[in-house]
Amino acid sequence: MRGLKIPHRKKMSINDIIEFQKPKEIYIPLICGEDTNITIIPKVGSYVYKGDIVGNTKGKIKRYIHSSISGRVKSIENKMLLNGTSIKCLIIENDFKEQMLDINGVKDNIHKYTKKEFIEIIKKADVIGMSGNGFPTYMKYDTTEKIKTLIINAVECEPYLTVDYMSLKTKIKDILDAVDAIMEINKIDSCIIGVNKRNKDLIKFINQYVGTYLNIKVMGVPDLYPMGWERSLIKATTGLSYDKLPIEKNIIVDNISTIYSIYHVLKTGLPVLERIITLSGEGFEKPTNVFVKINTPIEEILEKFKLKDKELVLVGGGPMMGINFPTTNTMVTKEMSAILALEPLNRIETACIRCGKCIKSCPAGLYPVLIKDARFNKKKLKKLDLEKCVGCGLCSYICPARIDLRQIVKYAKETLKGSD
Amino acid sequence: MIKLKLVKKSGPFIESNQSTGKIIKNILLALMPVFIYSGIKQGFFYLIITILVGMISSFTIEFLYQIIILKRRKKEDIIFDFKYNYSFLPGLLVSLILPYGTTIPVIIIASLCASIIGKLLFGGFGNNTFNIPIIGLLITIIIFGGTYKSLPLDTKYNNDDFLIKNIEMTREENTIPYKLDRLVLGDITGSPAEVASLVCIVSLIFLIITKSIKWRISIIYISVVFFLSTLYGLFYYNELTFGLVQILSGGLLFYSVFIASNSVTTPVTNIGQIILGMGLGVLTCLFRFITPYYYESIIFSIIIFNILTKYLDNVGFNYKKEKTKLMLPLLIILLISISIFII
Repeated sequence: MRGLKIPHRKKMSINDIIEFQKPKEIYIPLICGEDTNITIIPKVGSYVYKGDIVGNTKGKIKRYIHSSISGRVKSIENKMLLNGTSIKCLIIENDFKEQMLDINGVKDNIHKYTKKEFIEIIKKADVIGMSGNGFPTYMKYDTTEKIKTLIINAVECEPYLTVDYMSLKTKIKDILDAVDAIMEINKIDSCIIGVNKRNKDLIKFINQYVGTYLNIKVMGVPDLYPMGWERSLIKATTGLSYDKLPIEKNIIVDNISTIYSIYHVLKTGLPVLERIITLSGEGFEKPTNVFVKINTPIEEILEKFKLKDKELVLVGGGPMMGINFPTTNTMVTKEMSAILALEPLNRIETACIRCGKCIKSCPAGLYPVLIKDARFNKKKLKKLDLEKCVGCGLCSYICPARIDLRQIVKYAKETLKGSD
Repeated sequence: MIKLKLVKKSGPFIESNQSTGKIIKNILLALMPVFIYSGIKQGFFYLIITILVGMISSFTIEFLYQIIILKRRKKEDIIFDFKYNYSFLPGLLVSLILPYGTTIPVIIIASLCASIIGKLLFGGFGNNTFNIPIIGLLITIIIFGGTYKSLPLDTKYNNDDFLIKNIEMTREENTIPYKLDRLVLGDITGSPAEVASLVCIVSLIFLIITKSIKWRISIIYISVVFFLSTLYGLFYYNELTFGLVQILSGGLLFYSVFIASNSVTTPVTNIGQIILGMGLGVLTCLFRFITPYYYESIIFSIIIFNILTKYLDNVGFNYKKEKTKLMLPLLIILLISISIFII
């Protein structure tokens, strides 16, 4: 198994999940994945209910954007996304009434769906991979292949993050209920919950509840980064490896946060409107986990959860793969698992000494140092399997000369794409 | 609007505790036992003077080069160069591998050659194709030939029947002129590096634990030389200790730990490193056995394999895709090792 042991720094935010459900306004970015060609449904000044569809994509893959609060549309303004691009946003003022238009009522039994209904409901609710990739979940289940194994990704290999840990600790009954329902609806034979081996208490805790579900197993995976990567996780839990998609080996992998949002969708019929995020890092006065509405402005969160008064780097997501946002004028998205306030590093790049540490740590088996040497030579680059890069950042992390190899590999990838 | 001091940075936002400075520090720490042992054997005064002369010459020439040729005038730039170029290293290593009794002017010239030709002309730290101290030593040998070993300080071992460098023997003699116990203890007339052969094992263990060198090269180099020489010794001299004699003589342990495994001039792939170790071992044995009167077998093997570094990287890379591509280099190494015995 390839990867590296990296520091955990998780203890500081393992305490509680605090509710933060009343933002003054929300910014809904009009973007789905990378698709910005979106039909806007409400007009400025009109009233939207909680859970209303406020936009949908025009393309082949239909996706919907929902409002997580009820209130009036204040304006359409440009706001910054995490990756730095400016995007049109619907700004909705909260009336704190949480009005819903059609109330389906809470279902007692979430097992009573057919597969077709299940796919339709999670498609309408816009359930997506909530650990960073943002891949629509229904597309995984919408397959004619037999699904044998469902793997739940609760590894959380990134430092600081405790979303998965805290969700399992506090919502274990709901999560297991949802897993059982998904398995019954999709006729899945078995389920493996992948947890870091180090979290012995968590494995013990889950095992207390798993007893009644015969087909659900908890499995400890090696304490390595990036163990939460689909390929590594499948390899560690089942020993299998696949070519392009896990479904080739009749496997589906879902994050624990995604499962929890599926639970809500099946239970209430409402779309995904909330999620748990971690607020952690040395910069927060009290690191914790927060249950927030999707599209809450980060500014409002930081007003309640205070930062220390010093130079800080704000990161959306984990410290390895997350993105730095230089402004607080942005919003929580479904893919965002954490807001971290970290102390800035003083990276001084020096000459490469060809130590080969980047090669030994790369989970995809790439040769970052050779890519760096060949970055202007397209012929050589083609041989170096650039497309396998997952962007985990271990090469940049380990480099003793502090060379940002991930960026170099990314640029090399782009130059190669441009040439084809 | 809340006020925050925000900094813009690109990820990853945490970093490992690895750094080039730490690796160099570990190597310096690993040199300490060598320094102490050689100091006991050859005198601390002599050793300190030699090392200081080497270090200061390298340091000075690099400082002048930065200011005069590269026109670095800003204070920050000069401090940066000092901090990250490790300009004292070439002189330090050269002074350790020059023979005991080398005169001070020769040490200065060797250090300057190492710094200028080996390092600066290639573009400074991290860009050299050839091993820096080896270049210094090589040029000294070319300029001064045998005369640089004028041994003005050497009175203690002058009458010894030991040789300075590699074994000097012909097959007809059928005996080994070395006494093993003296080789083990370092009671020989050699460079500080050769004298301290045995303690290099301590250094090697330390460097492997701290992951500061490419250990595959060192270990495979040593074991290949040991294996081939033992076979050779059994074959021609009926002598079991011949392998030990070979790895303890000529500073092979020092070279394999500190010089051959230098990370800049060696392949980055594991397979490349393994082939390099084998190749170095075979080539060193070849030089030693075929031309017993020829010194410096190790440094020539290292220089030859420095040229092949990029090729070995490719071999290591291709091996992952097609396992058969490994056959060619291995075949060559096998043929050379067989040829040692035939000749």
